[in-house]
Amino acid sequence: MDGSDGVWVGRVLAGDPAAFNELAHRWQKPLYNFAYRYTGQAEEAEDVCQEALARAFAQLPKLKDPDRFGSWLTTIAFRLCQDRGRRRRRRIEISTDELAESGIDPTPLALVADSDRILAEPEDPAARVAVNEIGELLSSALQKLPEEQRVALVLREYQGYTATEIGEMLGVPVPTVRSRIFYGLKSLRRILGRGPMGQELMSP
Amino acid sequence: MNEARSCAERKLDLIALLDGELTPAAKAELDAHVLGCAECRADLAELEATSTLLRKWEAVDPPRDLAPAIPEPRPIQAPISPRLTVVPSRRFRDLFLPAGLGAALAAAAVVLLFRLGGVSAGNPELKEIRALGAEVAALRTELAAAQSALAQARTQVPDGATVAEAPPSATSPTAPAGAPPLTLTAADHDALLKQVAAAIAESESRQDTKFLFTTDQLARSLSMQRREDLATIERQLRDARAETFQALVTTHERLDRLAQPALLEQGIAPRTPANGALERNADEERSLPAEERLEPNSRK
Repeated sequence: MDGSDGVWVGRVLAGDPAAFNELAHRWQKPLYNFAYRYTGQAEEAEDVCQEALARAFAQLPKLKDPDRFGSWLTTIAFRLCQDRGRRRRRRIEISTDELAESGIDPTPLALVADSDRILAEPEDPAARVAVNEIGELLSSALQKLPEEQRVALVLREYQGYTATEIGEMLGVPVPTVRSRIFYGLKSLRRILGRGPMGQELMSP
Repeated sequence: MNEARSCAERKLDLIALLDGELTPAAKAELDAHVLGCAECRADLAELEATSTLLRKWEAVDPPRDLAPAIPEPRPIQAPISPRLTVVPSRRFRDLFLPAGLGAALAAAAVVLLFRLGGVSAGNPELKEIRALGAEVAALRTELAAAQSALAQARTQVPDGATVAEAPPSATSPTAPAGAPPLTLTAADHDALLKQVAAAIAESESRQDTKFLFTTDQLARSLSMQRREDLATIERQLRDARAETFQALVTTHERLDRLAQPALLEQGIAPRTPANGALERNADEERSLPAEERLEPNSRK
């Protein structure tokens, strides 16, 4: 089905709640991938995506510009990720920063082991680094970035927003967003370059 | 752009450049600088390469459908208790839903009645809606009583009587002997008011009975949509209240005008209707019943 998001939002608000299904099906994949890349956890992403869509439906009358449904929905998902992250950290009581300070790599051990396995055999690197393996490497590297850099990068690289749009979504000044993107990309390159496959990944 | 910008200051401009967010002039200036500056050129290449690398991580499909369950618009369901009718009776509709107010409101009101039963009495929002509903129902009862009184009064005015059209100054206690006899006395007026009061009391008790419906099943599964519905119903009830109130005022004005000569005859000072009401043409009003005049508004 076609029609802009705004048209479908209008239909829902005009009393056709079933029209929201079109919006949900349009957006669930990008939204799920946003949450997955930001949190690094598939199950978490599932829950966040589902809850964000349900909240968006309930709060649709609050959406000021119906044509910006997507960025509004993504912002809802981002806040949910933040809330869940905060709750989880409180449960664990040890932040990754503290781990890093004590010289422990904060990346979950399983993931480290896994990427070591992936990176171990350099026979035909180009063929061997499959799409999902690139995903694992990038996911683990992204998780090592500070949250504010990570969300800015995910929104820019995968959701396709510009710094100006990200600034509006997060309520952060645009130069701040650009700075987070700049240093986020720089850090990410360093993190990836440190791995055994660094050279290979870094070459164009 | 300031020519004296340092490379450190330009780093953020590089992101703006990649995002396509620089003005043409700023872009030209930065492009020229990058050509001659090895550091900025290296930065730009690195940013682009990292970006390209990141974008190799392809999106995956969600493992399952994550769309929320949207409640379908529900047909009115059979009542839980066989004693209670969910569809408003003919009489209920006639009394409470003047033609112009439409079937949508009737359906909404039924859904409201049906659902409110299962909701805790403590919810202030629901109390408010419930009060609104009762208010509208009471107003409608009053309107129906007033309208029927008006119709009755009119049948008692002989054909061609133009009492209502006569300017107020012309109708004095010493009315001409030829004036048609009017049967609407002060006693009738009192009786009418009593009728209205009784009708209001009756409608309130009927409303209360309806609100006692057990609706737990529906209420539980539809809590989210309920909030939306309640807002809609509240809005519709407010509109209905305003419309009904307006119709009631108009009907009372006409009733007063009809009753005026009779009351004057008995030496009772009539209530003074609003001036505007007196200036209106009575014939034109008769050809335009209140319901018809309400219709355009109630449809929006």
